[in-house]
Amino acid sequence: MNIFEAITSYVVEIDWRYFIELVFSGLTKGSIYALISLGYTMVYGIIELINFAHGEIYMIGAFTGLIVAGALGALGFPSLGILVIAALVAVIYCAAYGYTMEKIAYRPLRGAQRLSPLISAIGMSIFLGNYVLNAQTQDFVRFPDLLPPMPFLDPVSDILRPSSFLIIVCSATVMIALTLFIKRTRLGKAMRATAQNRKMAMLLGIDADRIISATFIIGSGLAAIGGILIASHTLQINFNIGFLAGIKAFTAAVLGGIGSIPGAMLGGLVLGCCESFAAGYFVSDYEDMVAFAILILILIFRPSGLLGKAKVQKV
Amino acid sequence: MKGLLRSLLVSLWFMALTFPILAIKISPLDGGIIWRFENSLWLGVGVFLLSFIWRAMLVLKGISTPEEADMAGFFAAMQKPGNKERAIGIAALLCGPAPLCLTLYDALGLPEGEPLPFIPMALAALFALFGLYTAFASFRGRRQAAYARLAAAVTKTGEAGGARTALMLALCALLLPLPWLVDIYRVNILATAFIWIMLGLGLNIVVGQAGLLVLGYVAFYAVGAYSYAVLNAAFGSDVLGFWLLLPVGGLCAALAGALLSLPVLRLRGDYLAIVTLGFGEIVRITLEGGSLSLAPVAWLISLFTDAPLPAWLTAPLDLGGPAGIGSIPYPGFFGLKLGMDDSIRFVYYIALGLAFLTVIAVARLRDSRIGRSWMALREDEIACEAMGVNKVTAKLSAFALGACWAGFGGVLFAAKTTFINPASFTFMESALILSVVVLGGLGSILGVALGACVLILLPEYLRSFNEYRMLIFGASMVIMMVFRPQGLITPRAKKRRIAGVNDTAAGAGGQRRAA
Amino acid sequence: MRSSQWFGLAVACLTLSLPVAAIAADAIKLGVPGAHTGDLAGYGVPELNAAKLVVDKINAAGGINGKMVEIIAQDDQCKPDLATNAATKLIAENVEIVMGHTCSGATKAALPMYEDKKIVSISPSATSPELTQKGQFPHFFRTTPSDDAQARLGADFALKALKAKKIAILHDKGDYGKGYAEFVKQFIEEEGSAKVVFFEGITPGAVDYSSAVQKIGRSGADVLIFGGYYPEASKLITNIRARKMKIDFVSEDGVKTEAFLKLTGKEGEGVYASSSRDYSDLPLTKEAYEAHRKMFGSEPGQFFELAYAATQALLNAVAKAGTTEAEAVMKALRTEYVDTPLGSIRFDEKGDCEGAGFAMFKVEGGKFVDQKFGVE
Repeated sequence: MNIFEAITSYVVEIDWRYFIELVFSGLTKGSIYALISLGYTMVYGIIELINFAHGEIYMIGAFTGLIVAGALGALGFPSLGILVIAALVAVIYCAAYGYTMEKIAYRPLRGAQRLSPLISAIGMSIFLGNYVLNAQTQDFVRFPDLLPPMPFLDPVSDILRPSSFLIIVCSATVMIALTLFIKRTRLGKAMRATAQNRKMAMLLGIDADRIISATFIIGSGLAAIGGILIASHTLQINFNIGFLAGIKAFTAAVLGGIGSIPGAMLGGLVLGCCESFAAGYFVSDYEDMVAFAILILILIFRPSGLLGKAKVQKV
Repeated sequence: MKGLLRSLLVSLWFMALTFPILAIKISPLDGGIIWRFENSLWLGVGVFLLSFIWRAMLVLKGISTPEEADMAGFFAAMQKPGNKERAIGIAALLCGPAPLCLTLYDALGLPEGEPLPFIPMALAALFALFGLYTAFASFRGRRQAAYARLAAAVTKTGEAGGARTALMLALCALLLPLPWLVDIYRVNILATAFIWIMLGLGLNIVVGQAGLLVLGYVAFYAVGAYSYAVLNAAFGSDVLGFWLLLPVGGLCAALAGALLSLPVLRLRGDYLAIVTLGFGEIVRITLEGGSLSLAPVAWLISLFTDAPLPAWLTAPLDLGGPAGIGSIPYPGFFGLKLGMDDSIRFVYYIALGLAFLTVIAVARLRDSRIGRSWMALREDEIACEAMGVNKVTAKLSAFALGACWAGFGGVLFAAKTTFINPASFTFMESALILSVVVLGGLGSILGVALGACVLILLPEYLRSFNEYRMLIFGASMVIMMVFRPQGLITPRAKKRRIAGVNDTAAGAGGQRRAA
Repeated sequence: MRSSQWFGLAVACLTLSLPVAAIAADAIKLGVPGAHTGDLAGYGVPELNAAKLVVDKINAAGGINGKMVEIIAQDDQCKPDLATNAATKLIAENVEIVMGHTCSGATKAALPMYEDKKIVSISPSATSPELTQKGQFPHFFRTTPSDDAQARLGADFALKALKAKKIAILHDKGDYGKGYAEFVKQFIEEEGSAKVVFFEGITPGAVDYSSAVQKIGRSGADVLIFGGYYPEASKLITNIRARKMKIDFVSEDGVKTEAFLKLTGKEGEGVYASSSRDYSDLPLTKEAYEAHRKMFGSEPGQFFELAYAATQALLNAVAKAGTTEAEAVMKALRTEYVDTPLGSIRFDEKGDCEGAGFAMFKVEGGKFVDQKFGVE
């Protein structure tokens, strides 16, 4: 048997259905990581800060959504209406949280040594997690199942769940919208300019403080969408969900090349699929380990991530 | 007036911001809505007051001008003679009751049944922090004068080093008899603090001196702890005691550090950070997995020798998995069996001794040739290479030496708690060690020591708040960073005066510009 | 480094280590250490609440032998190092009896200290078998069944009642879940009538478990036995139901909780979970639930009944012994039956709970219904 035959027989042996299932579950995870990692990467691109509290914003988004949904549910709204309103309110509130957080914990530290804002962010993350723990509850709470029935998905129901479908579609839409926004609008252009060279942008009349605030607002809003989506997928939330998702999203952002928006999206999807394949073809005990090992391997060969641009050092 | 309006707006903003989380709760019993407007009200009042202090502090710290903070009138009034003292008096009067309440609360324990409303308590704590800080800042001038006098008095007895020696002796005189004076709990947490001083100083080598951001430092701590626990369990404490395994643990960790440093030589900044974070997670997941195979090592050895390999090398090592490893013996004291109290005291002395040794070693390292090359690496990698510093050696040694101290700390930690499991080695611990370093003052040895004491003892001291202690802890981290971003203590650059050359090296660590 | 700053450091250390004011002397001090903050607070806080309710009730009735009971709560976040801090803190405050800790790991770290001081402790949720079976800790008791006892029931149920041929076992990589899963695997393999086709762990808190569920589906297992807690269990079960997989779900104590029913809704129907026998019809249990709703405005959480029973048993033993002296309390714990939400219980020589048998429950109509498995 020559090598060609060996490969073809192997390919034929692959359970393609199972493979597609794994791809979809990877995409579901990856879309969530990508949505959250956009916030990381945008903030990092502009002020070179790893905003550790970003995961908590995602958690607060889910909680705000839950509370609004609960309140509206008591008033007897239809479920799709509740979902849309809850998502809107969550986005607005998270944007406000992001804006306030930047003003309190990061703006006074502009120009301080690089690690100080990082510690401030870790403190903020601990604070926000415990704020929700104390003000709401330590238990897991059920997030209402608000998705409309999707009969067109019935034939593939064992491969793709409606919530996964919604996650993939919403994330894709949001990412396209964001890309257009960054590419086309005035504010988007100003953001890119500030990310490239803040001093130069300021000289050209861009209000850097405003741009940074806008970045936090948009990033936090995206995290809120992620929060609502994942809550309607897992149907449960508690004060601690932001931590793990935040770390994963940060990993995804670095994997794709931190500071690069398409990089964050790609990084999220790659990470999600890696985990999914690791669990599907290897052992799920070690899915995180495989994900991190792949991350390290990629960074060894591409030290600035998949789509990150290597900075040329000028001496 | 403008200031009042602004505070009002800020407080309204926060009330609106926290409204869904703080004021609404979906009843878990029947799904109805529970309104908790009193929470919002408390928060509004608190934020209204805090907003003044916050803005005043920003002005005092030079972050914003009085005009920007809408406090021009206030600061103008402060210029008049006598007003400043009066203001401090009033502030102390306002802030004084808060610590008093805390002490009383601590002393009386929880009131029956009724859980205390947490917002007033958190506000009281914040208030106390601010009050203390204000008082502290206002007396700074006088405090420094007092220090100068003290130093002068001590230095009269000898030359320049005399003061340090005398104060070191005083410190020893304070810390040595301490385990016999305070209760066992305090001895225990102080021993933890000393271990954390070692961890902080070890990380300080990598982050503070060599400028390599490491987010998975806890992995080396775990390697140290597990090498003690596993080897001890495998061979029994009669063969390999604490004292033999202490250097072994340090060595294992240093090896792990060197191993990690090889693939990451090319990486910079945050890419390095994420790889080390991943490394930390990989180590933790391996520990959770429960067994580690030394087969590759065995294979390597078998290439060189035909002798049959010992069983412990070929069989997988049992790491205990999530259930952890228990019954780890306390450090032996010349074969004597100590009770728990005495064991903890003994651990305290070992930790104190090791922390002391670490301080000396790290200080010597900093001033050594390799220490200088780390600093050069931190300041400018390319220039450093151009000057003939071997980048590979410098990075490798920074990782290995930094990890080594974590290994020592880990061995001592395992001996202190007598039980370890992967829960003690999560990313949160890595973040805390990094906080110790940055909060204390990046690169400053004393600062790191102080940072470790604050970050380990503060949550312990907040124990009487139980549920709220981590909330206050997080808030104080943010506040400390905002008002003292360079850390508690700024490292002083060594001054070398060369005739005819301007001295520009001073204060390199703490420069910042007003935003 | 500046010499004066060293002095400052020493002063700071000393100030922070100054003893806080002592607490009123004439009370029985009950230490309640556990995970009151951190990611496992959902398990520690209900225990603290249970202790508060029992103590309130006893104090309202005049205390024990004329003495009031006072709770000293200490947070350990389920971390061994913090557990030793909490334990030494309790010892320093002269606590006489302890109801805790939440996790087996924290308990293992703290127990040597209580042993040294001869303090009787009783845990509502530390399930590691070695805690009682090795005989290292004679002063330790627990109301929760140990992992192997529950695993025996789970394995028997899957083999005999469900007639499983291929069994998948999943755990959450935690102390509790993995311990249970490993025992189940061992018992099934000893029995030999079924095959374990899948044995893996998942990361608690991960956003999605689709891959693991798909792999289980592919393994062709007819029963899935899960070791872990309700949040992961409910994520798994929603996933399984959404895929319309035909597989029975068997789990343990960490899943048999009201919160699981709330989280899963109608998707939880048909799930099996083992736990202590159901005594929720007892007036005592109803009263405890009612008191919890009144005081905390919510349904009792995980381990509430176990912690309630533990506190009751401990305080009852103190009352019967007339002292908090260890030998007498231990004797009373072993001989005196006490009525609790777990039924009438006492403890055996090793410290495990007697009289609180286990049962297998099935979710039917939004409630856990006893399957009367193994009852003659």
